[in-house]
Amino acid sequence: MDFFIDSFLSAASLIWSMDPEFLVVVYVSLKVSSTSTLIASIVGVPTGFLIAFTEFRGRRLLITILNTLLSLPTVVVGLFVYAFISRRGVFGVYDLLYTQKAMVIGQVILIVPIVTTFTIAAISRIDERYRKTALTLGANLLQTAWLILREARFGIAAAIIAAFGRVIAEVGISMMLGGNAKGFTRTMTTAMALEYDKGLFVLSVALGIVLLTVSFAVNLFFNYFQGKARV
Amino acid sequence: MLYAMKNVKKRYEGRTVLDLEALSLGKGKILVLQGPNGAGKTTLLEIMAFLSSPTSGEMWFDGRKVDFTGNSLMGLRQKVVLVQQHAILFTTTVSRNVELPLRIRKTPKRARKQIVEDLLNLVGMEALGDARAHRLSGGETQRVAIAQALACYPEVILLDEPTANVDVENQMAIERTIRDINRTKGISVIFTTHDMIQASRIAEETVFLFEGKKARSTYENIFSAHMELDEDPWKYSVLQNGLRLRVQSEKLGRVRICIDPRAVRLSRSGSSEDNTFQGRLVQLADEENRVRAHVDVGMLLSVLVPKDVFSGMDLGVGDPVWITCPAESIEVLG
Amino acid sequence: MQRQILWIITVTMGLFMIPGIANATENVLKMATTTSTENSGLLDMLLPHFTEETGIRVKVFAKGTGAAIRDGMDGNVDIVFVHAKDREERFVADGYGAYRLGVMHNDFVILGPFTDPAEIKGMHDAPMALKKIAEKGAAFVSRGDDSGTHTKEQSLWKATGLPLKTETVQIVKNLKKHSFSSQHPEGLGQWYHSIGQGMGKALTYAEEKQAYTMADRGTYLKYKFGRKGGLDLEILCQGDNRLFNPYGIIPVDPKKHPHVKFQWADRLANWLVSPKAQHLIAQYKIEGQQAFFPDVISTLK
Repeated sequence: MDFFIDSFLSAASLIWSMDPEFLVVVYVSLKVSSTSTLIASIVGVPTGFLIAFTEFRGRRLLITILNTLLSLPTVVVGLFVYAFISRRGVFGVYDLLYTQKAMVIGQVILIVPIVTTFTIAAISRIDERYRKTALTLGANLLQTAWLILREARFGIAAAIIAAFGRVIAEVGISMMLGGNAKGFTRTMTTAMALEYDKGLFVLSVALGIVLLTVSFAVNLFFNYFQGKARV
Repeated sequence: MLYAMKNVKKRYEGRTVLDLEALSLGKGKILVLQGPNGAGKTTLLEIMAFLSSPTSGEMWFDGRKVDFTGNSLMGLRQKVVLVQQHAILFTTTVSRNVELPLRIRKTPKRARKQIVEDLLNLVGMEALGDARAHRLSGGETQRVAIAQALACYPEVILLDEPTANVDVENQMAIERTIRDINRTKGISVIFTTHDMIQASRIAEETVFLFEGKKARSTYENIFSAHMELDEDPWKYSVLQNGLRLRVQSEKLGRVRICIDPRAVRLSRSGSSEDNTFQGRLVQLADEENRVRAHVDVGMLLSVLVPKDVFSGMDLGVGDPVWITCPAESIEVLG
Repeated sequence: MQRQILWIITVTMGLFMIPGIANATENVLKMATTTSTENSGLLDMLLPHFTEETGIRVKVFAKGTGAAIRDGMDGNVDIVFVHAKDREERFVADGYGAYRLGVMHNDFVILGPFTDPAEIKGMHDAPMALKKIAEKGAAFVSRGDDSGTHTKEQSLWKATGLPLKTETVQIVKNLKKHSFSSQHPEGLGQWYHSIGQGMGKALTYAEEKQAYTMADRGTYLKYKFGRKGGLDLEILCQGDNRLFNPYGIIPVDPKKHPHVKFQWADRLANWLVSPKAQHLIAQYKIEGQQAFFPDVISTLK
């Protein structure tokens, strides 16, 4: 029990102190995760929309594959991307490994399936009558798509929140592709792994508490906007 | 002609849901498509709204042939609008829903506000402009959907069962609106209903659909029957309760027959004419200029009699009556 | 039928969860060691001999020195095999370790890219070499994980006389505030990469960034010659006494943690300083080069 009390107090003092080095870690976490989530949403939402709305051969198979990719281990993504961007890899010349860009690449690969499948689910739940209504009111295809996306906005917001939650909490990709370099690529989760390796469990758990606090704040923020959008 | 169709068929998963040899609908009128569930009314409306294309056949709109394969549908949809059965509104306020077609058509913002106000007035929903659309009752939703459709400034407005699951007050309001938009705006209105009273109240023309085909009359009085041979060209159509109707048809075996309630004759005394049966009057209903009588002749048969004819007969519920189904009142369906 | 299958699955999973059932009859000793020891491959060679002689199997947990010592303090392991002499001695003094035996040593080397932007090639003075790297602002990769190597690196930075930044984290332990500090030269986030990972990771990171770094010779040899496409880094500075790296073995004191298998741990510690083990250590070569130097039989040096 003492262990958890210690952890909570340490977390509190960590947040209270506003130590600049600690803030950099939080900043890097948020920056990388938000960038990945944004890119994955730009890719995943339209993809999900198209899959939900078109009929083509192998559609079911594609959805099954996407569902399988939901359980993609971060280490596999990390290794895969590593092989391409390390100095010996095909894209080695771009000097990407151990940068925030590399982390974003890995994380985007990790969460595009999440955004896509959640979007498919959200769009499929939308009543067919919305599409017909939009068309009969004279909307073109783009306007129709927009109206349906608007109807599915809560489901899609859930997709994006889930994706963000996955990347802010993942450690494999950040560690393998980011390299945990302090001030460059150290995130809350890689810092936790490090403190654990150093034997400073209390600090590790304290960082975990900070991470949850930050996630909570981000979710509150999203919630606020969802509330606003609920006309 | 507003719509003309030739051999229009629609198949869903191997089942033919619509099969119209020929159909033409006039311009500027209030037309009613009548028929039971599964008659193909909604399918036909969706084709007429250019939301779905027929599997085969040809269609003309306003004298021009419709090309269902090309990109012209988008332009045609600007002229026709469909209010679906159990209309659905977008998750926002009532006024923004009505405003939507105007935004799509890039109407200037200032003009939009006035138009939305006028349309909500027209359907009697002006008080609920700021309400959330998905909080409305079925009838209110339907009225807003009509206002939304009118914001498209259509030439034709199609309504699918506009008064199904709608309370009486809203039903009256909707019927009034339908008449209004036809008279004052000159918009052609085509709607479906299975409420015959309503159809007779406001329709200038009625088209009956049954099992995807154009039927001669209402779908009332439909019975399954078995065909038996009689002296050529006559056959007997034997109903389940043993009633034998003499008909002229090429079909054999199991069929369904449909008896037009308007063509059945009602009288106080019997005759030796074909297809005359004795029964008992069990129910009477007033329908505008006609009286609907339900007669028990071993099964219930619905008969429509002009009011003046009926009042001359001096009949009441429980009285014994005779009915005669002339050959032209009976249709044999496949 | 489905119920039975469910039962079988439940029972089987339950069996896995009961510790010790799977290999109750085996004698397993748990040892915490550093990643550099594990990565060098020495233990893979050495421990089978011990098992053969005594029947005691050794389970190795490779971590940073900090975590390895922490495992010992918590009684998670029976014996600790690390290389950070000051901390080892404190570990024994605080009553966690029963005793410490010096087993062997190797040395650290300062590595860098072939291009050598800070021009330290051939230097023998390690702090001077680091100073030149810092002054040049050339990329340097630090383990930064509180490991023995990291401890050594910090002491070398101290010896350069450069201004250092001390970073302190405070944690609450038993409701009292404790602070842990580490030092690094100014330039963190610019040229100084503190990655908080093991030796192997630090080497590949340095190679990727073509940066300078400090490594123990054993791990370096393994990465340079022991695999296809060897490490693209060169030894640029070596031979300084201050790069000396002693390894000690410490059984966890049973007075602190009565459940530890002290008897076996004691046996392993004494075996490691026995002539046989010392000879084995001396003979262990990585890519043709001696990697570790036994401390007891110094004549074998």
